[in-house]
Amino acid sequence: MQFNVLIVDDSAVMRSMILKTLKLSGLPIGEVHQAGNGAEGLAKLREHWIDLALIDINMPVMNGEAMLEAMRSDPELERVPVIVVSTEGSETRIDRFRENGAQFVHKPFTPEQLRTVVLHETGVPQEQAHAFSAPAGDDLDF
Amino acid sequence: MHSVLQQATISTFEEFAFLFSSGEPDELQRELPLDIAATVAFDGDLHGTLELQLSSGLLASVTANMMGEQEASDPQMQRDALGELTNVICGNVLPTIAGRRAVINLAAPRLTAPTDGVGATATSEVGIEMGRARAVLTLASAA
Repeated sequence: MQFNVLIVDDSAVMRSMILKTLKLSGLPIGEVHQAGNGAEGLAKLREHWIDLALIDINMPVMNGEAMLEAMRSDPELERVPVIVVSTEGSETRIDRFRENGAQFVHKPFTPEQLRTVVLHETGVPQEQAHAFSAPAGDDLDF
Repeated sequence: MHSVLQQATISTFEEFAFLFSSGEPDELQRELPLDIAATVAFDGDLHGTLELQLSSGLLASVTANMMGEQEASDPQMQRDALGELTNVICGNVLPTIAGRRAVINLAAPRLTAPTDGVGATATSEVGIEMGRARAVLTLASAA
C-alpha cells in the first residue's frame, strides 16, 4: 500500500520541504503530484488518483480554503483526505477547516507530526503503514 | 513584543532552516551588512508588515538546508526560501500578539529593500551561525 499525494503550495521551497518531510516520516509514498495554487490542484485531482492532498492556505488564483470548499462540493473529490499545511495561527480559521473535514499541520513541522496527522486523516493503522515503509537507509539529504 | 519576535525568529531558523542562533549577534556578525530582505504585509484583526533582513551570505545556507545543495545557488529558490522564512515568522508572531481567535490575512512575501527600522513597533536582531538576521515588525492602526 502506498499513498499517492498531491502537494499544493505556491512556494517551490515549501513543496520540496513537505515532500522531504513526508519521505523522512517513513510513510509509504507512491506518486507525488504538485500544484502551485488551488485551481491547479483541483485539475490534478481530476487527472490522477490521489490518496491525500496537502494544501497551503495563502495562494494566488485560488487559495486553499476555496480549493477545500470546491472539493467538498464535488462528489468525485469530496472524500479525498485533506491536510492543510500552513503558518495559520487563527483558531477561528483552523476550526473552519476542521468543520470542512480537513486536518491541520502548523509550519514548522516535524516528520513525526506529519506522520501522525497523515495516519489519522487516512485512517491507516500505524502497523500497516510501518509494514510498507521505505527501508532504513533511504538516501535523503535533508 | 521584542522577546516574542526574537523567539519566533530563532525557532524558525532552527526548525525550518536548521541554522542555530546564539542570540544577540557578536562583534563579527554585527559587521555583516543586512543587504537583503523580504516583507509580508498583513491585515484583518492586525494591520502592518513584518520584514526579515539577512546578511546575504546566509541565503545560500538557508536554501541549501531547506532544499538541498543542488538548489542552493539558484536565485529564484533563494528568494523563495527567504520569503517562506518571513512568512513562517509572521505566522508565528501575530497570533501571540493578537490572540488565538484573531483572524489575520497574510499577503504573499515580497522581496524588498532593507529598511532602517525607524518607526517599527518591535525589532529583533540575532546572530545566525556565519551571518545575522533582523526581524522588523510594524503595526498600523486598523483602517
